[in-house]
Amino acid sequence: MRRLWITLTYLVFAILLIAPLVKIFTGAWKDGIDGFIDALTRPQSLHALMMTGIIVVIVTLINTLFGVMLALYLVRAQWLGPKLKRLLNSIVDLPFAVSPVIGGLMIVLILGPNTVIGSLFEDAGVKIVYALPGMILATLFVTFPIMVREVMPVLQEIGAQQEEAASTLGAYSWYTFWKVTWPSIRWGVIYGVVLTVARSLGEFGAVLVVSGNIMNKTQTATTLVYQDVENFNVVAANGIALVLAAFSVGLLLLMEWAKKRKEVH
Amino acid sequence: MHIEVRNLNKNFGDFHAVRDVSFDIEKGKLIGLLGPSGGGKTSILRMLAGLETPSSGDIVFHGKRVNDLPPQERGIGFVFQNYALFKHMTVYDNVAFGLKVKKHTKEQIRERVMYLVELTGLKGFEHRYPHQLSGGQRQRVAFARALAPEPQLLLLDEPFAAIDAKIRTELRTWLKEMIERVGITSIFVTHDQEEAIEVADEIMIINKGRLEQKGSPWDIYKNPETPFVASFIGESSFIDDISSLKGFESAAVQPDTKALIRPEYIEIGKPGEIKLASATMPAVVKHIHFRGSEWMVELAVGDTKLITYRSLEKEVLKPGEAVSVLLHRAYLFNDQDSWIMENPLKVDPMPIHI
Repeated sequence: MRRLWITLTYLVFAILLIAPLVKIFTGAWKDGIDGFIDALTRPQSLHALMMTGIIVVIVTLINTLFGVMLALYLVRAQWLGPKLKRLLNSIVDLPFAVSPVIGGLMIVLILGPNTVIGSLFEDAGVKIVYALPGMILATLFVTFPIMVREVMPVLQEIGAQQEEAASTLGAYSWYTFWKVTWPSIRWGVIYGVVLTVARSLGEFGAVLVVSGNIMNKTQTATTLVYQDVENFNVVAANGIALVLAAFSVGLLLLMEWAKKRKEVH
Repeated sequence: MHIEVRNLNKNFGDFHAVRDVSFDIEKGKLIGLLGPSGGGKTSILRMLAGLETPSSGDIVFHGKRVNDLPPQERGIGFVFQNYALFKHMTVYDNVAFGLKVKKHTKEQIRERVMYLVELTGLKGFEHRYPHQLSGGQRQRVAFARALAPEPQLLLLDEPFAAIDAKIRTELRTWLKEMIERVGITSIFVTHDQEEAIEVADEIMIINKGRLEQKGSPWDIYKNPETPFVASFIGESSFIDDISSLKGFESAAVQPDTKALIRPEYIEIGKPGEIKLASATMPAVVKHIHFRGSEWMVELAVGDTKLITYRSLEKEVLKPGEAVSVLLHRAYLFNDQDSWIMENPLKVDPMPIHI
């Protein structure tokens, strides 16, 4: 009986995780190395990978900065009442609870070309929805809780006393942050960065709704895979999927390493 | 540094943590803030440090009101209950922190840090991290770190609470000596009366946010001003009906007068052992407890329970044994007043005429 369960567990693991990876890998090489290279060097592939790259970099930068700041304010700020803090704290998790597609839809409804704000921006010459800014916003929305949730528990655990000690020794907040707080939270931040990169690399739903999926304009790697599959261009879809999967595996390894360091400190 | 505190109040929401506290502290004194946990001692300390803002009242250092100064500008050193050492820094960097902030030169920092490391007996540990040190060593680091920028006032929050009992006494003596040597005005918080009595020049008793009494340990012990102080300092037996005890029959001048009796106010002996037999009353031993260096004896005089100590050198009493008890004095109090009354029979024994 026990043996059966063990076998079953490994079977589920293999079907769910290993089989797709193997399939992507063999699928990408079906037409040999040339097919793989062709799939990646198509103009729309290069453009899509570039878009994904831009989104990942900008989203990670913004999320890291504001995620750490929000975590600091939510944990340390005394001028926020405890009730307001609790409210903010639960709102932070909203993107985790809401489907990404709905997140994207909200952005279209607020900032789309037919809305007041959207047309205002359009008049100023800035397109938000069906353009890069909207895609960045959508990805920001989806990934925002990650950094806050990684950093907050670390801040709570180390407590405010070290920072208070620094203040009685004459250090002001900037110096205290870099010399006292940062060394304690940095592995949490790195872990958050890795998770944010992984999540924004793979974001599909919210981006699809906001971008309109226009080839060579607002197409990301994931939405290109989707389109390739729709067009029965399976080799190309597998090729790009393989690139994304390779990145993810690399990130996973990095994550394991960061997690270990986080525990040490 | 001369410290003046006037009508200090602190509210946390509905909770009135500190109520109308006023006191003066002379330069160079070592003060103990003593009281039960949750009584507002730490809040007072944190307000002095600037880590908490008073709801009302003034804090004056050297004749200058410092309420609006941030902790960085107050020139104080603070030793936290759990030391709050910077855990990713070595002992050297921890002690040097306050000096680096003040932009001292490398040479000056090195000199000062090495001096303090030597002073606190941490030589050879400069390159260790806090987690590689024992509790006592961590406390010394916290002490050295607080002293490094040469503060005018040192504040210590329960400095010995996290250290095991055996090293605690040792560290207590060490800290007192160290503070005397440095000559810095210091205030420490404790809930341990023995600690306060042993270390402090002066004790302030804080209860429910109020300053109950301020004075030297001996003063407070001898002349407690409030029933709380009387019951908090030393262990006392609480007596509802003082008139049942011999010599104090007329003590309850006003109704509702109650008494506290310290163990050392009571003398016990086997019948005939006490010379002043006319002032004694009979009692029964209820229990005896061995307390390391003496016996603690629980007595019953009628319905009244008393606690006292008896030397190990004297004959051991047994539960149920009848003894004589002489009550030297009692601390009496009612709603309006409190006073100490000596046993009149003891002072004025029955004269014998031949």
